[in-house]
Amino acid sequence: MSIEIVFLIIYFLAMAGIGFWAMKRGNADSEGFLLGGRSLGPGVTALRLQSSSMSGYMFMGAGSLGYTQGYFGMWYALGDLGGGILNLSVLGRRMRKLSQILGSITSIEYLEHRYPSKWIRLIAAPVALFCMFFYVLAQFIAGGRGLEMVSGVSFPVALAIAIGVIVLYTFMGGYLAVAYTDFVQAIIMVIGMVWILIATLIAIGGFTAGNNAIGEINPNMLTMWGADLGFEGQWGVILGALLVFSIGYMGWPHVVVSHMAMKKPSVARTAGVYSVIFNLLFIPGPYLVGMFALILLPNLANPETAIFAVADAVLPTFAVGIVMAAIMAAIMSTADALLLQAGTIASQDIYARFINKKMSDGQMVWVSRITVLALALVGYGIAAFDPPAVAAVVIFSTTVLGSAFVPSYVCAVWWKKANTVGAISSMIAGTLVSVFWQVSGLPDTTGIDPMVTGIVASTAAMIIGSLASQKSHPVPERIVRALDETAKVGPIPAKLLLGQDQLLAGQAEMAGRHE
Amino acid sequence: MQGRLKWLGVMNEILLKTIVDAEHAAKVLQAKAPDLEVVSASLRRHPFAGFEFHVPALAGRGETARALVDYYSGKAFISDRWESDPVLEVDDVEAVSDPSWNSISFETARQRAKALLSTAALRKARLAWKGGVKETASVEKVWKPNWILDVRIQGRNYRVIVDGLNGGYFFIES
Repeated sequence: MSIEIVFLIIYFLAMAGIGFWAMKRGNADSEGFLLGGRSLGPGVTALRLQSSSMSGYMFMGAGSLGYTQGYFGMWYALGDLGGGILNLSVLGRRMRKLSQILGSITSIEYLEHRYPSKWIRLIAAPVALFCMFFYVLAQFIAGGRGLEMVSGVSFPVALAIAIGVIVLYTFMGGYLAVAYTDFVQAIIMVIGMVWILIATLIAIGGFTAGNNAIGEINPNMLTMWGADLGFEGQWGVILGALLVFSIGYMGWPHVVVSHMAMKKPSVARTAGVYSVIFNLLFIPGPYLVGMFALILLPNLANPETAIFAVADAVLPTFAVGIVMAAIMAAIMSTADALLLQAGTIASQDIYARFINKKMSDGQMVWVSRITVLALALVGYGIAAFDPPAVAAVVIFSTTVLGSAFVPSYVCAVWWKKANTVGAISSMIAGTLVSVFWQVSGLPDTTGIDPMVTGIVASTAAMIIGSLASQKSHPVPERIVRALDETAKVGPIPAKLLLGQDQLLAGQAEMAGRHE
Repeated sequence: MQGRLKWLGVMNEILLKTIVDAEHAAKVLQAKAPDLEVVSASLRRHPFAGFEFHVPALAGRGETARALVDYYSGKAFISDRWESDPVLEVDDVEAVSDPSWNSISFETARQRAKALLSTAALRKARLAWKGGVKETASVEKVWKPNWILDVRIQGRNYRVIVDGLNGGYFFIES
C-alpha cells in the first residue's frame, strides 16, 4: 500500500472522528440540531460553503486551462473573483427582500411565486436538474482521476470507487457533523493549494524565473490570448469567459438560495469577508500551478491531472497524501451538496408539485434517493467510457444555467413589467440557444461564446415576451405591490445597510406601512 | 424560566415576551451610527402561526423543533423556544393590521412549516433519514414583538424595524 493511500485512509478516519466529536457535542443541546448554521461562526459558515462549491473544476479544470492556455485562464479567474461581488450588488438585497415578502424557500419556488404559473416550475426544474447532472458528472470524473493518480488502479475502477464513496457519503453523511468536516476540509484545501503553489515556485526558481521559463517554451502563454494567440481580439470568447463564473454562476440554484438564506447579519457580513480572503488565496492558485506544471512536467498525457501531478512532484510524500485526501474530500462534499440539491428539486419541485401533491416526507426521501442513484448510474455510464473534460463540462453547465435563469432572476426584482410569458420565453430561449450554440460548434466558427449568445437570447426573449403580453398576462397586483415594497428604501448609511437582518424584510413592509 | 410555555395540543394565542426594550433597540442602531437620533419608538406585534414538531433523527433519536410562519408573507422560519409574556394580554397590545394582499391561511402555514422542517431534517440527516415528522402542537397566533423606530441620521429621516426578541433590524423606508 502506497504512503499516499495510508495518509488518505488516516485523513478520512480523522474527518469521521471530527464529525462524531462534533455530533456528540451537539447532542448536549438537541434543540440546536435543526437550527441550521445558526450556531456556526462566520469562519465555519464561509469556508464550508466555499469547500462545498468549488472542487472538481478548480483542481482539474483550472489546472488544465493553465497548462494548455497559460494566462488566458485568468479571464475565468477574474470572473470568478468578481462574481461574488456582482451577485451581491445585482441580486443581493432586493432579491432577499422580495423572497421574504413572497415567502419563498427554494430558488425555483421563488421564480414561480414571482411569475405565477405552474409552467415556470415545469420548465425550470428539469433545466436545473439537467445542468446539475453535468456539474455532478464533473465531480465524479475529478474524483475518479484523483483516485486513479493516488492508487494506480485503472480509471473505470477508480471512478466506480469514487462514485460509490460519494453516494455512500450522500446517504450516510447525516451521521457526521458535515459542517465541521467541510470547514476542516476547506482549511486544508487552502493550505494545500498555497503549499503546492509555494513549493512549485521554489521548484521553478521563483515567479519571475517561472514566467521566463514559460516564455521560452511558448511566449504566447504569457499573454491572455491563449497558447496560439487564438483568442486575440476574440472579445466574444473573452466576454464569455468573464461572464461564465460571474453572471453564469448566478444561475446555480444553490447560489441563489444563499442569497435568500436567513442568516444572522453579523455572521453573514463577516462570512463575506472570509469568503473574499478565501477566494483571493485560492482561485488564482490552480491556474498558476497548472501553467508552471509545463516547466516541471512538460509531457503530461492528461493536462487535467496537472495539479495532482505537480503535488506529487513538489510536495513531501506525507504532504501529498494529506493534500490529495483533502482534495478528494472536497470533491466529495461538493458532489454530496449537488446530489442533495438535485434530490430536493426532483422531490419537491417535480414529484410533489405535479405527481403527488400529498407527498409525505418518507416519499420525499425515496424520490431523492432514486434521483441520486439514477444520476450516479448514468454518470458512471458516461464517464467510464468516454469521460469529457472537467473544465468543458463545468463551463457548459454553468453557461446553460446562467443563460436560462439570470434574466429571470434579475428582471424579477429590477423590472416591473417582467411577466410570466417573458420568463418562460427567456428560460426556453436561453437554454436552447446556449445548448445549440455549443453542440453545433458555432463558438469556433463565429468566435462568440455560448454564454454571450445565450444571455442575449434569453434577455431579448424576456423583453419581447413581457412587452408583447402585458395585456393578456399582466403582472398580478400582489406582485406589483411586493415589488413596490422592495424598491422603496432610499440610500442607507453603509454601516447600517450591511448589518440588516433579512429575516425582518417581510415583517418590515407590513409593520411600517399598514398600520 | 419565568414565562416559559408549558402546553400541549392546540393553543389559540401566545404573546411573546419582549426581550429588547426601546432603549436597547435605539442602542443597537446607535452602535453603528453614533449620530443617529431616535424621534419616536412604538411596539407593534406581528402575527405568526406557530407549530411544534417531533422530528425523527438518525439512529432512533428524535427531537422537538418549532417553526413560525408569517401570516402576511407566508415565510416559514425554524424558531427558538417561545417564551410568553407573563404580564401582558393580547388585548393590551398594538398589532400590525392585515394588509390583505399577501396573507395566508392557518392550513397553508401548517403545510409550509412541515415542508420546511422536512427539508431541513433531510439536509441535515442526508438520505439515510426515514422521514416521519409529526406535528405535536400548534398555536393559531404567535404575536412577535417588533419596534418601529423613526430615526434621523445626518438630517435625513428613516423608519426602521427592530426585532423585539433579538435586536436585529431592517430599514423600512427613508
